Amino acid sequence: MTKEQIMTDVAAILRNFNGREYSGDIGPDTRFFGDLGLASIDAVVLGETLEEHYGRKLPFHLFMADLGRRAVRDIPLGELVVFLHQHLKNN
Amino acid sequence: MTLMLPSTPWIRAGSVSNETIGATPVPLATVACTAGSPLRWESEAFVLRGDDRFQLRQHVQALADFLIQKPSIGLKDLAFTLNTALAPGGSRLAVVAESTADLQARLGRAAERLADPRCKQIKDMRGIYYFDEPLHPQGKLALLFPGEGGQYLNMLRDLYPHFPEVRTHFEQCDRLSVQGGRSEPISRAILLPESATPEEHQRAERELWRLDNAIAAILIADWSIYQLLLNLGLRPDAIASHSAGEFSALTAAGCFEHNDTLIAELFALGRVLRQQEDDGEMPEYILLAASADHSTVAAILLDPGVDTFRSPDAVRVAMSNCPHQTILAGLPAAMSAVEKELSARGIVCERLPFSRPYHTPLFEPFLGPVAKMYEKLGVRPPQTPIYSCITGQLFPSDPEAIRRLSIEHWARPVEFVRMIETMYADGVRLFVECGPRGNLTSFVQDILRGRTFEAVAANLVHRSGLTQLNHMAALLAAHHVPLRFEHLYNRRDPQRIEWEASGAYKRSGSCHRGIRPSHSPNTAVMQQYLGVMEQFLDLEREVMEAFLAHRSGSRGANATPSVWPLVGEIIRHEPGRELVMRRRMDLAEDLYASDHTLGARNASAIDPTHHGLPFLPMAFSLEMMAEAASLLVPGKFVIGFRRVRLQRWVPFDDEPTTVELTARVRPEALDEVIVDIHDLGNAVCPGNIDSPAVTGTVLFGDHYPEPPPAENFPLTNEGPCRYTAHQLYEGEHRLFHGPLFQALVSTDRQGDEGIEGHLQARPHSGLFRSYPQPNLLLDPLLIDASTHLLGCWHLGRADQTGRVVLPYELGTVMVHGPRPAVGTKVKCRVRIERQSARQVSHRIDLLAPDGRLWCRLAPAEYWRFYWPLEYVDFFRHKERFLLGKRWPIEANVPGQICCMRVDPPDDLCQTVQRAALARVTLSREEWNLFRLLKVSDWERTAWLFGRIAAKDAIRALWFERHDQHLFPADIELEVGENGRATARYRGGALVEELPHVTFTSVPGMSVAAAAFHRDIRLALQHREGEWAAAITME
Repeated sequence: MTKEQIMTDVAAILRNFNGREYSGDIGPDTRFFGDLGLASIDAVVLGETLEEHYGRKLPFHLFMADLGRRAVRDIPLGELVVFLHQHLKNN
Repeated sequence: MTLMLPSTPWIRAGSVSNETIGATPVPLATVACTAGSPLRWESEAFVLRGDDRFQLRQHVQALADFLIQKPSIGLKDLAFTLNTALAPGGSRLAVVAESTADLQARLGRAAERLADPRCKQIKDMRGIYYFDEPLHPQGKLALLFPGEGGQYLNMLRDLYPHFPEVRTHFEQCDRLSVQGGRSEPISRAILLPESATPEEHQRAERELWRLDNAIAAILIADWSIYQLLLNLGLRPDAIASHSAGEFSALTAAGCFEHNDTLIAELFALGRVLRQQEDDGEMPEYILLAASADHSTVAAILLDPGVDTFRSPDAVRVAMSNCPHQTILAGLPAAMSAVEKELSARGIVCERLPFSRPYHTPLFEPFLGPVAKMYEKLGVRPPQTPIYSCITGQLFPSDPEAIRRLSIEHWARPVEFVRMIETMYADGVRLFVECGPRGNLTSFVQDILRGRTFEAVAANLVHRSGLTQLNHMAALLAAHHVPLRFEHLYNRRDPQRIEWEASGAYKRSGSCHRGIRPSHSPNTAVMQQYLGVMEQFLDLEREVMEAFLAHRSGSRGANATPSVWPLVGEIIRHEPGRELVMRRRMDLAEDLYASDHTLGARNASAIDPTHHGLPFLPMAFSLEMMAEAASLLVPGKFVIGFRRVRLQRWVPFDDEPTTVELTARVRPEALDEVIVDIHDLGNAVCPGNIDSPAVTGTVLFGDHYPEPPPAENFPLTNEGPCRYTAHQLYEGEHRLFHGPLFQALVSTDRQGDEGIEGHLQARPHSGLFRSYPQPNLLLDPLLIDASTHLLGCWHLGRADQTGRVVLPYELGTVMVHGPRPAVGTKVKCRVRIERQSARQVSHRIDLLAPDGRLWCRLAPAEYWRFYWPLEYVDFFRHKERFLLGKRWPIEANVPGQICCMRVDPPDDLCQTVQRAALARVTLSREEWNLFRLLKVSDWERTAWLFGRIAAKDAIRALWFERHDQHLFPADIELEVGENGRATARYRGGALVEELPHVTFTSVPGMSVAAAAFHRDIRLALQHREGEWAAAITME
């Protein structure tokens, strides 16, 4: 699975996520909190949704722990895609 | 009566916070909440209504069409017009947009969705909200107050300048925090200067999580937002909170009285608990957020296979926040084991940045100070239903039971999930988070996922405060929650647009009150007509002259020096080598100067000619240099300038001053003339013979140089400009230029790199008394107007300080052709090339109608000045704003006594800026006294700011009593001994005499007190490093 395919999947999920739509462009630079207006609980829920989508467990706690260490706590979707790409490839 | 009060050590000018907190004087807005703000919002909310969905869609399409026809319509005006005339019920669409293009795009998308019968709701996070089945009024609305953990650095900073209630509450808490023993106001723990380094930021972040700061910060933010929401018309059916948010929730429910005592006690509680923490009485615990629900986490804790933390006291569940978050508290060793176990099971864990075991029995030993505090506070039954987050049920109504539960609150776990479930069962459908960050909103969304409800935060950490406020208002309006939208425009000078679905519109008048000279309608119309006719005749005459000059081919060459208006008496002239001339700078001759005034225009209701301080425009300095230099290089064209430096402004005085110009041909380049202009001043207003005010080199050629090829002007984040030309000049008084200078005709587009607009070459008639039709070598009006567009870009920036910019150097000016004929439209592009805190570098291009470059100024270097926002407000509308703040606050009795303090800002103590302030705050007689003062620089500042404080006190008191704004320059003070003064209104008899007033100054502050019909005395005393004011009534 390529990064582009994963990005397409993530964008499709976030286009209408938990009853909230997003009509703007969604790409690697789109920020989870700043642009999509989501919260940290939503990040956890997104992790579950992606696990369900790909049918396998993914170590989101590592990704979130890394996020927590950053000064600017936001996630460009490109980073999430890289994380997913790495773990989906390993599996 | 004598009051002796300590001063609050307000942040001094010079620190970045100064613009937002400390030295921010209290504007009239705190009295009446009606004054205007210069600040532009980066987004607006728009609510459209139709009787049904079909009609709503028609209105959406009509508005989209209207925006295509009128792309430069003010979004604020449109929002104000739509939202404040919103009828109840119907079918509603709410949109948040940052620009006309945004709005058009969102309307287009909304229209498309509304046309689809399958669409039952639109909840687009970019800002489109529509609900087929709105939740209000059937569903109840609850406010949720967040607790510790919601605070973040610089929260509410962007709301502070716009909402007096936020500012007032911060100021109240600053005062009480200092009185309570803090070394500096509490706001400094919340608001960090923008110049802070990453290290300072980290340190401040840590400090903000310290116990006393954390409690104070969340209380301040919760209550400020609550006041804002009340003013916005929100009326909750229920109230609830999370953890320390309960203090604000109980107060909002009416259980506590919100007053100084309550705030002081809560601050004191924070200090005592922090002391316990600092003294090591409170063992260090770890708090851990785990991404799982309570039962999952509890099951892991009880798992017999996990024996590292078997002791039941080692780890406790402190908060059950939502299905995806439970907070645990415990001692470090046990918590490390728990964290490892949870992570191994794929649960995301995050350690929280504080170490207090709130909401567990581990906190019981520290409840003493909490209980003591409650003993001092009167508790009353709630006026609004309020839920407890530890029982998950409504609070009891018995005050003693409320007190008991509130104390227990700190040692019992937070059952937020249970509480929200109860509220939902009780009919609450709309949850509005009344505090910072937005945590509770996401908890509610997680708890009620899949059910019918709405949760929205008034403030989010990742979005600007104003934009989130717009989103919240839009979402609630789409759910038919009644709101008083007027509050969003109170300080913003809104104009009503008569918009109809047909797209026809017209502007009606400003919504402001104020004293203005009255003219009969017929007189005004006739004056306007004659003005237009005169302008038309001027224009026609100059067009004809331009045509004839162009035909004869003489245009631009310097063949007729006798008609050059800025050449004065020639002192020495060595043809081809050197020239010295002196020119009288006389307001009676230099008519242009009265339309170029620092401190802006309109300083009096009585005298319409009373404006700010006239000074020589940079473009007129260029013209003077060009005219004089041309006498040394006859027969050639002025093709440019190099390195023109404005060392000092050249102000005009009431009496003529003199400038001396020296021009020397460069021996090594005979087409270049070096020019110095010295301001010699006059007897009253001395100049400086030792160093020039302006220097530069004038460049000549046999013909104009070919312009470089045209360039594109791409802009990142391009959008329409924030202000129209009309708004910049007369509509909102953003610029200080009078009618003679108003050559900017349109502001077309702007982006990160700069701005583009159009100028129109204006007639030069009326610039000089002795030269009805002056023959100028340049077009100083066009050159000057290019800087108006530059100013427009700076005014539109998001940062709210440093927007006052004035030029100090032009690297090169290149002219590629004769000046455009009168009436010609010239495209102007301003590029921002570099900027720092104090300096900004631009490139300005002026393009002829054929697209060729006519003139380029590059770099155009500007200084930034940091005027407190209230001063910017004041210069725009001098009758409506104060420059001081009420101090001591306790001494103020509305309508009877007013005490004011003014702290002179650094930038406005500079000679010319101070003179500009004096010019618009003093009557003509006072101004004359100010000019003639023979005192030290500090005494001059004190003389002026003392009077400003006195006039502020009088104006504020007068407004409270008579609802009438007065211009400071229309009040004249006759000062007797001990600073006591007699105030006289220059416009004749008022309904009663102006109040008695007294004032005094010390370095860094001026204080005044005013009272009606009673003598009042004021003295400042210095005690233990602080100033205190003694006010005595007789």
